[in-house]
Amino acid sequence: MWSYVLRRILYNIPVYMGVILFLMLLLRLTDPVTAYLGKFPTYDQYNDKRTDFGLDKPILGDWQLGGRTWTAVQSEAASVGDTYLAKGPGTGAAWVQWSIDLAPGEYTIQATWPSVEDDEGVPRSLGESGLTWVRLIEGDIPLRTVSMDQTRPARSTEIDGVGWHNIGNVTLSRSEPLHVRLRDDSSAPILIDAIRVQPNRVRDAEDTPAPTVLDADASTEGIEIVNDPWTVGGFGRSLWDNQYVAALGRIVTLNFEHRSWSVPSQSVGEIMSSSIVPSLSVTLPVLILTTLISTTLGLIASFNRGKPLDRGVMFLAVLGMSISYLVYVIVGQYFGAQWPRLAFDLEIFSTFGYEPVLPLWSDVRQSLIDGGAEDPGWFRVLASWFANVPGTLASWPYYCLLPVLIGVIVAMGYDTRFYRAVMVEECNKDYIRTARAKGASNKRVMFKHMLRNALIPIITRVMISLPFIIMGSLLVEIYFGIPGMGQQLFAAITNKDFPVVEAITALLAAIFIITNILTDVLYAVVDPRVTLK
Amino acid sequence: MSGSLLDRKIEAEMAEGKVGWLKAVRRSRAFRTFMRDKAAVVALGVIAIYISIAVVIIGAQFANAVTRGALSDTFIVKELSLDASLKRVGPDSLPGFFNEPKPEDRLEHADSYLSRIERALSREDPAAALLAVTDAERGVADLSPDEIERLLEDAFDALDTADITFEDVDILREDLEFAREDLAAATTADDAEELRTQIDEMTEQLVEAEAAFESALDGLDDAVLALMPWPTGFDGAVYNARLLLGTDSQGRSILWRAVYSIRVATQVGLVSAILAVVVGAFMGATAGFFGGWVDHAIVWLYSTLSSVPYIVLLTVVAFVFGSLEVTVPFTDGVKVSNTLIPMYVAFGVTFWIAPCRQIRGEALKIRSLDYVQSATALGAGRFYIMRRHVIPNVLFLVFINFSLIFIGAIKSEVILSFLGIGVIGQPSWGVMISESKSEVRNQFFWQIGTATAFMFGLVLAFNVFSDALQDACDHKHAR
Repeated sequence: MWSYVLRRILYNIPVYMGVILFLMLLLRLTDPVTAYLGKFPTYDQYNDKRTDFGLDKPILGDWQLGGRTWTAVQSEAASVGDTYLAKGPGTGAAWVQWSIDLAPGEYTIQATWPSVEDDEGVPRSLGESGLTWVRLIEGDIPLRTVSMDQTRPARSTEIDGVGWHNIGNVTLSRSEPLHVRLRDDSSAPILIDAIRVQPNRVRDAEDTPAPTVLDADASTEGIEIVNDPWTVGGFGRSLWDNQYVAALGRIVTLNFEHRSWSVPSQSVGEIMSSSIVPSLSVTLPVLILTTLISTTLGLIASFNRGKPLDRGVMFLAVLGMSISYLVYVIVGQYFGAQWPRLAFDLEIFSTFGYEPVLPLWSDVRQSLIDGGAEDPGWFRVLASWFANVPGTLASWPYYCLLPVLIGVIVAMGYDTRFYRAVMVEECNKDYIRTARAKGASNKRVMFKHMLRNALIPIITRVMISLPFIIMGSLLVEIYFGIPGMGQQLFAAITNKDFPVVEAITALLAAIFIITNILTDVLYAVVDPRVTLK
Repeated sequence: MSGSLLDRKIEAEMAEGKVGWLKAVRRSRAFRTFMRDKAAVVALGVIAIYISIAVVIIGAQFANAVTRGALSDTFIVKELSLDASLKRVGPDSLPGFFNEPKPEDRLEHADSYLSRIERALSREDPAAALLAVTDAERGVADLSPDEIERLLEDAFDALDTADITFEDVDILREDLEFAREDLAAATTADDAEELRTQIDEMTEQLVEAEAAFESALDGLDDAVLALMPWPTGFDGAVYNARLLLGTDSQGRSILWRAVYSIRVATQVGLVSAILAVVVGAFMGATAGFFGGWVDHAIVWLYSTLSSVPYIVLLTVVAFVFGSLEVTVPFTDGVKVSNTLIPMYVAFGVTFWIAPCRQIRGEALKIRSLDYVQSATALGAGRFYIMRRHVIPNVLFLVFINFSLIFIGAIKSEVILSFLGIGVIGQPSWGVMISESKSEVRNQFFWQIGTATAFMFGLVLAFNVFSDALQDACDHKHAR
């Protein structure tokens, strides 16, 4: 038995690792940081968010295209000279910098890179998102840091057949050199072919001097190429120092302390724990009621197999299944909550909103402190919490009963059909015939023999729906304004609140796998026929 | 215990070349069982009707695209285009079957017509501007601008009368409400008696006022009709058809939108089902048949994907693909996020698991059956066994899964469209149902009713069809 349990657990470890990998790759198809901040963040905003959640690390090992050092790529795609520089995303520790002595005046700085279109060997396949940062420095004073969107070809202006991207204008007042520095803290690969400095107005000069083009080539004067010290000395960044291992670590150690991006006052864990009770207050009653009603209906239908009653129930089930969930929710809300209010002035159910069904621990504690207790022990808080339960539970019918009824109606069609099929299967078994032959009454056959054996698929189905219980019912929660897990997840998705999305999906998958293991084990315990293979 | 679509005998005859595919299928027991089920045959007919409507819509648009818009003025092509379902054809939220809207709405509708004509008259070229005031076939009467102006003045007078009578009704209603509240709070019998007589009086007044309002509204409607006559003849028939099931909150024809949605639903259902079934069947058959590490890898893959709750997977995939800034190949810059592609991907990723799992199980079982074992012993090759024994025996699973995924895709489309990550920029049943949520709060059920009825027909047909298919292919329950 124990070896069976162990085997199930071991089997599910690679599955769970796959889930995390899949979610991670899926959520990083677009750069989470630019998705959250929009196309034009400032450098500090961008970098804060990126380092905040370890997004500057490689996703999985050191495999990113372009590598972790600046590489000169000899290519036809280079329009200035015959090479360009390329580098994979990094932490900001590596850069390439051009220094040029300029007279005080106003200059336009431009850059060019091989465009995405002519990508012969151009490492741009991952570069569908992310910004490249350019820092302009006069002497040792940084003027500003500007972003370049390298997902598009450089083509603000075209000079001699080369498209240039305008980085920006700088006004130099002191006779110090200008440094143009490209940093590698991007979520995408960085490419640079050349920098161009176009004088606009130069003080103390009669004619405007000619523009300077600085090629991205190690032999260019004033160029300085700095690589990430971690990768240059031969001992790379540790193999385990990547986003994948970090995400696995967070879920294994149940570390949900990270701040949410869109609601910085709350941590991921707080958001999740505050939404479990609202979810459960709808889904748990739905599960219990549906299972009770539909097993009964299934039992009755299977017992009258082929008779009008069975046909009628099954026909209703199919009719019910053919209507969209959303229609039930919309129409159910109108006839359950709004219509009684308009027609009879009855306030039975709420249309939108929620009040805690169980008292909040922190509220209870606070009220005890307000009541004069210095530092109430957990026992006193617990006692007070229990004393508060009836009061808060009284708000349950007003906010949650209607969603529960809708959920039961929706789920009933599917469940009744399933349980009927299960019972019909059992009806045909030999032991039922034997029981009848022995002269057992209908009631005895139904409840004593059949129901007990049919319990196995029932238990399986109930267990399988457990993760969905925690997940809550997305649609109902959004429509009725119940702040459950489903609603929180959807809000996080639309707000691009990356830490919350990742944590909730990972947690849901973990719960799903744990219930799977439990189902297998329970199945084996309940049904002695299952060989523990 | 389930079986092939074909009987062994027919299968053998077919292998010898005596009977063709079609005949073999027609003579099979599964086919006969299926045809005995009258409901299933009707369901099949309903599905055929839906799909042929979708084919006509796609065909018309395709023909128009191939001829570079040469057909765009043809009646059928014009009415089946996306524009026809996005166009304003009448006042907002008009009930279906030409039921009268609520009095307040009638007032508002007349007001909007009159102000549109007034604005047109104030233009530099009133005659041309008046021609542009149309709701599909219904346009301004063919009169000179001066005459229109005269009619408009009359109509505005009628509008004022209606407005004033409406105000009377409103005030009386409010007073009545207050009086009733007072009555409820009355303490002495005398007060109550007095209030009761008051209420009776007011009720009488209200009935009168309402009658006056009603007749004023009728007058107003006549005045508007004089300005914008109801189309007659063929145009009239088309216009009546447009308004048959009412209009939505933006004055678009609900019937037109619901019919156009058949195309979207069929497209979503077919593409997702084909995608999921082909991928699932291929993966499942490969895993079940080859076993070993291939099996392990495929089982790992689908266990992984199915460990994310289905609605979460659907939402996240649709959202991520909808926010990718990628253009569709072979088009001039159409963004992927504006197409149905994110939904196809989401459904494909989610729905292939069920057919894969079932077909793998079935293939595993078939592989260990005696006759397959003996075929192997006789020296039959892997691919021969696959073609001869495995594929025909799992084919029924493919069909059943196809129709189940079709249903799943159509129903999930509604949820995704409600969440704003489904169909964008064109009507679909999901879009219609989610748009009708505010209409339902105003007791307007025509849009949600129409969309649900259209969807109900198709989904019910598929439900009945897949049940019958399951029964027909399940030898154990076959009679």
